[in-house]
Amino acid sequence: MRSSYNGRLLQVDLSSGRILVHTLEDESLHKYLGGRGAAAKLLWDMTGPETKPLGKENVIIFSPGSLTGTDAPTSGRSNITFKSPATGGYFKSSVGGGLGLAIKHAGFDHILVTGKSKNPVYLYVSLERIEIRDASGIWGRDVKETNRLIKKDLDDEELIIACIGRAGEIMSNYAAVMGTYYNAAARGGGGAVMGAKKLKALVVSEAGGRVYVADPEGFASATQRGRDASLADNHSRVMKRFGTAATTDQMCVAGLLPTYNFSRQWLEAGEENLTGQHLIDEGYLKRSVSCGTCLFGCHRYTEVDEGKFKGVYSEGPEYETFASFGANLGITDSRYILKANEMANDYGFDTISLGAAASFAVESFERGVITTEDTEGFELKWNDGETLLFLIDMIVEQRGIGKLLAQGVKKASDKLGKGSFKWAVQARGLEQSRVELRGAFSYALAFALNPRGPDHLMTECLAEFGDGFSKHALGVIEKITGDRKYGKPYLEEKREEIVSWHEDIYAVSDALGYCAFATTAAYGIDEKMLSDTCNTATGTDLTPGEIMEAGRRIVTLERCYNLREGWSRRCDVLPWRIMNETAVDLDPKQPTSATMDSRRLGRMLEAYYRLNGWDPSNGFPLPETLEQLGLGYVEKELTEQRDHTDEAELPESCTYPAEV
Amino acid sequence: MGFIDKQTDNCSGCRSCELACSLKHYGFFDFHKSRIRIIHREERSEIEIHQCIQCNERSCIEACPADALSIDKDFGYIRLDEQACIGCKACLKACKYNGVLWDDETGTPLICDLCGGDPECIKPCRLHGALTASEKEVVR
Repeated sequence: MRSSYNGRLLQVDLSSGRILVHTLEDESLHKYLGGRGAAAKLLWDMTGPETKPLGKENVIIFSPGSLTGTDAPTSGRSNITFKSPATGGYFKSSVGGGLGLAIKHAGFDHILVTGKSKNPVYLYVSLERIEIRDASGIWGRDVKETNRLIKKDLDDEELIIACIGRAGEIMSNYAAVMGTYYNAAARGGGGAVMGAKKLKALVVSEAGGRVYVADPEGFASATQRGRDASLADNHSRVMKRFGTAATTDQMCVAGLLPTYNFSRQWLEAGEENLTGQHLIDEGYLKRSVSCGTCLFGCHRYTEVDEGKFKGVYSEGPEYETFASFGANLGITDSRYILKANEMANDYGFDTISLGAAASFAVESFERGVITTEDTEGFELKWNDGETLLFLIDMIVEQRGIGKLLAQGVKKASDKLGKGSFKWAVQARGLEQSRVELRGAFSYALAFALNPRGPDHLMTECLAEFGDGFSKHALGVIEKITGDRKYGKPYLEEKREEIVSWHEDIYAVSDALGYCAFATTAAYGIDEKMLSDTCNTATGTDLTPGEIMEAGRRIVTLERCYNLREGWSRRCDVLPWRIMNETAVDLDPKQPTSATMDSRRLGRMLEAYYRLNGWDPSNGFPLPETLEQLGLGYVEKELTEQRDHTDEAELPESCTYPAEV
Repeated sequence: MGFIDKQTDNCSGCRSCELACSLKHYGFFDFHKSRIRIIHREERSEIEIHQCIQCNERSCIEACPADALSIDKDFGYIRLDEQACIGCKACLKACKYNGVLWDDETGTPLICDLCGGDPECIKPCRLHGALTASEKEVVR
């Protein structure tokens, strides 16, 4: 049968130069839904505790969704899967733009790279040929120039390129893979994995390619229903007009905006400069840009036409970038944020972790843990755009404290000591994304469980904000919990159900290639829409319940990957500051006094473990749960860890220094 | 409806229109079988929409040495007689609006046929508003 997913895997070993094409077994689709799910299984099979994230044995897998390449609305996304140098665990980073469509039209469902090249190379993939090409002339170049040079080298303006900038070359723990110029698979250090392999870019030509679906008429009709449903929720229009930074100012007023390195929850003034509306008012916004097949277009293409930063151009800033480069450093002068955003995109950094490194540095400086000796005499200050630009330069050039900061706040605080773990806002090695968990309890639970670390992009539980957020959000809460009254972010009850549902649908979205905004922010693409489009595109025969069960299977396998690495319930934590300090403790003028202490989190975790058939004593899925999900095969690699979680040494990314 | 109105400034480069066109005409997705093409130069976010605009000049028809092109009586689009077409690309060169695309596989032009009055390309574009149904009368 014709299908939009054929399990075709291109495997390239950079050590030997060997290029192989395999076809994966049927279960890669029927059991794992392709995309993120099939990639998680490949990572499970091909790597393990002995794999060094920056060693030649690590893999990096580019996996568009199983529906990517079709016109299903928002289905153009890809998953980049690897063992993370930041966390030492499973990592999937998602990327939009045109990359996924190009890979699928070039005839592949997964591109997997192993080994390490001696000299810089890039990988060229088209229907006609697959080639490892010399990149020594491109190494050292930034993202925009890399795109230009490769297009020139191959004399093809239409190539789709995913590359690293200097961040990846220096193997920063938060180096991104940058797709089609500005679309970042940002988190977890995928760019460092490429840098370690001396792989500058993956270059894809879609020319002449074709993607089929099992039932063209049924698919066209399911797709049209999906489009109508996506646009029915008001949040889709919010995304179109204002992008992801639509509500930064409202979050500030509600006391939900992390500021000053998470020590406060609001700004005294200037929050309106950190919004999508501001980009329009100041004339920075030139176009709303879509990823492949997206009906919304939340990306912002921006240019600065005058003043000190005239000539700055890039995409963004996104909400997370405004919050990370702005609010969390106390910076409200948007010109500096636009400049720093351009630098981060050109160097190929994750803006969340880069901003986190900067705010960690400023607080460390304020507390005397780092001094002008570490900063070439520069005084680091809050609310100072020059401080941010200076730190980015130091990091990318590996000067002074910059060399340490490039490894992320976990490694930096381990090295600096002096109690700096308390303001290194990270868990499991990953800097927390910019959500104030002390006032949003589903987010808190989800962040504690997330296999990547405390981050929003495996479980975006926006529905808990209720109808203040989107028209359909309360309907989603009612569907999950049976009652709309649970659509409030500061309730503890039912958080386990809300988080589980979001984890599952997020896994399905990633596997099929859908943008999670369509399934967990605008709520148009629901379980039925997912199974209808999946069945008509790939020929599966899944009910909405079965497709969500496949989502749970993916989530569970990813959990098991980390358990095999030595993680356990003891790693299901949030950053020290979030668990131990309320924002009110830190600043008595705070508007809310919510806290996320370990007892509250412990109660929510326990409910989650029980709901999902996990052992509350150690956080391991029970053997019968694994069996039910068809994951019985993982048990033999977990049995030993399962019984010794209390006394086992935690992986490095999950430890706090002995001084705790 | 009459024909398709284009607002290039509203295009976000999602390329759904290209895929929807290909699915409608061939039952599969192939960017190079589409009668609409989005040229998106991402670095500066420059976009061009290449698609027949049912202009009044009819330069493609006049340029065709084989009389393979004509105006559809019912909907006003440019109709191709594939048997008559000799694949000379004169129509492609004559169109100053980039309205004629080329099918390398068959060696014949790809020209928007308005999907017989219910164009697929505008359906994913509702929120973007780059492609909308226009009531304007077309030349018959």
